[in-house]
Amino acid sequence: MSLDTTRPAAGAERRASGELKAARLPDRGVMLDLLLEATQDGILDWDLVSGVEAYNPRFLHLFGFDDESVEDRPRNWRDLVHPDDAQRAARELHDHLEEGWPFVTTLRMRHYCGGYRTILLRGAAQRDTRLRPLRVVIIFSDISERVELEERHVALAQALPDTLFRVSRAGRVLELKRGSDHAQSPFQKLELGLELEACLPAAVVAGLSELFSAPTTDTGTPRHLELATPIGPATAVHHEVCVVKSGEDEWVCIARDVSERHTFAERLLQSEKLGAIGQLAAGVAHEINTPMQFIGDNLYFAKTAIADLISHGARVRGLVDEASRSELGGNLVSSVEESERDGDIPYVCEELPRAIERSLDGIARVTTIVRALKTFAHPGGREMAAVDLGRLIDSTVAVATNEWKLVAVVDVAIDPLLPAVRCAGGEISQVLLNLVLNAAHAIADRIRDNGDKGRISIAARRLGDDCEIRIRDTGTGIPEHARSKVFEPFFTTKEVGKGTGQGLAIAHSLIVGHHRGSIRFETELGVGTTFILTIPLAGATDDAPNAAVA
Amino acid sequence: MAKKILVVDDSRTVRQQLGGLLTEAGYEVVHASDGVEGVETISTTPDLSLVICDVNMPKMNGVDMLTLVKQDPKNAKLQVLMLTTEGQPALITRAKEAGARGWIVKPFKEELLLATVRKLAGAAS
Repeated sequence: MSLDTTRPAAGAERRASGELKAARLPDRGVMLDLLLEATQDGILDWDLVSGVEAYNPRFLHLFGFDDESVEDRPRNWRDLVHPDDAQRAARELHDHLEEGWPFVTTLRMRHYCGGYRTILLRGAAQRDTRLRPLRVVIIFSDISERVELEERHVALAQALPDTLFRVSRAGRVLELKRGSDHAQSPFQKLELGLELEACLPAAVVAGLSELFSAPTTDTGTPRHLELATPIGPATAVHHEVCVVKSGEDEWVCIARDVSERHTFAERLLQSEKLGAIGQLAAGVAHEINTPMQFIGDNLYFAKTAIADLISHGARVRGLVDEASRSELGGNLVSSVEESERDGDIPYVCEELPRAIERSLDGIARVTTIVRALKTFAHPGGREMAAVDLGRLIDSTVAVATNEWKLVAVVDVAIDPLLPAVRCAGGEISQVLLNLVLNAAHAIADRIRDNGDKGRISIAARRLGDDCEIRIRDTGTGIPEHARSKVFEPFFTTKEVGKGTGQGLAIAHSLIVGHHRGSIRFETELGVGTTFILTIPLAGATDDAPNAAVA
Repeated sequence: MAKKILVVDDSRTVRQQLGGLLTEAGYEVVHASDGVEGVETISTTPDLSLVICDVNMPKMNGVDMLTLVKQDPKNAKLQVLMLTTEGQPALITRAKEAGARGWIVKPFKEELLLATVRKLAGAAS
């Protein structure tokens, strides 16, 4: 037999130098006994010539069959292998015994208590000189806990929206879990096994390398990096990267896409600005109103004064006519007539009252707008109160005049039977303004520059215990793909920088959430869109369910 | 004429040991000390009967070398035997799939190695 011709690799003899060296162990019989006592593994000694299989007691314990009274005992280890793993087990064993491949495999094996354990099998065969296997020893190690722990770690990583990757000193990606980042995020280009330089923009690699090379001896101390990667002319994806040294020569990196937070912060800033402008507008409206009042009053005075002057002039004219018939007044008359011609008096008498009239018209319009602005800026906020919706709609339309006057005509039809509605006027006017602005923009998109005008029709009526407001436009209509997302925050079909994607989301939350009403729309491409709001006439009652749905 | 065997291993000790063993058994032995050198030697030595290849080596590891070599249809029938301390199931599977004919774990039994060599390369001459 050639069994004991084993010799360790050259140079691996035991030396007296005290160095750790692999060496042939003395007294193998004692060692084997100790080994069998110390091991927590199951061991099979399988005589392939006679077919006899001998298991150590630990094997039975491993699978719960150590109690001899247990019924349904397996005949051999193969009986315990999960049916789905059986074929692989047989193939690996064949490859080992017949082809000489190492036998290292992980199988699910049945436990007496039900369920399967994850078992690592390692085997070694004794062969004759023609390599035919005579006897094989297989070691069964229960690695279920390790596997479960790994699975939990993997699950934990998968559950995170972040990108997780492990990098070697050379910058190679050793492990990778993709994040749910923006499709254009640089971290989506990471590939397992590649070097960072090959997948990430140079700026990102530089930032990471700096963290890697920072002098640190302890693992576990996170270092942070903020990155902004441009993905368009005015857009960027933002990441917060956390790097932790995870071993002698490697780092774990977690990249979190924080673009949404950046966008949100920018929009918050924008809406704070708008809020400030709104407050300013209320003050400005007041400031404009006062001078308008006295300009108007003075113009009224001028109007009557001019009328008096004109009639006085007419009387003077009569006297002049009379005087012209006498010899005496001849010279006087001609000088008056000359003065009249110089001053273009007949024209002045005709046009001056009209000029005053037009100015008064202008003043009236300014006053309407300013009053509307005041109503709009201070309509009672979130407090529920009886509100004249007709007036609210009129003032909202007036405030938005500049947005629609070039593209549309607006008609407003308020049902005369509509009573006052208990609602938060400020919120309703905000919703109406958003809807009117959207309508105007949709029409503008449709007509472009062809000179036509569209129409925005606003109607309010009583519908049972509700007030129904319909805002109809003859705009582009809402495309199919956008319909389900219309009320989602940050969803906008407008160009970058034009819409914040907040208008309808806020409208939805105010109407449905605060007023217990509903908001929906009907739309047809190329025909237009109608938004339909209903608000309970009596206001939201407290016993209404909290999670009201449109 | 003696059959030619290429030994790819970064350890000089292993090359010497294997070289002695195989020469004694009647084979002609050529050496390479890493994956890159191994690929070069294979391309310049057309009459190799067997390649015995380590796994953990600088520049290019043995499994990568095997995969690269097997991509060339000329080498489809080239017999490659892995000889390594490595026992990771994933690596073994990769080598098996890439076309290795066997995997022997170091330290090895000389008898077993020679029997395997004879099986794959045939008798020495």
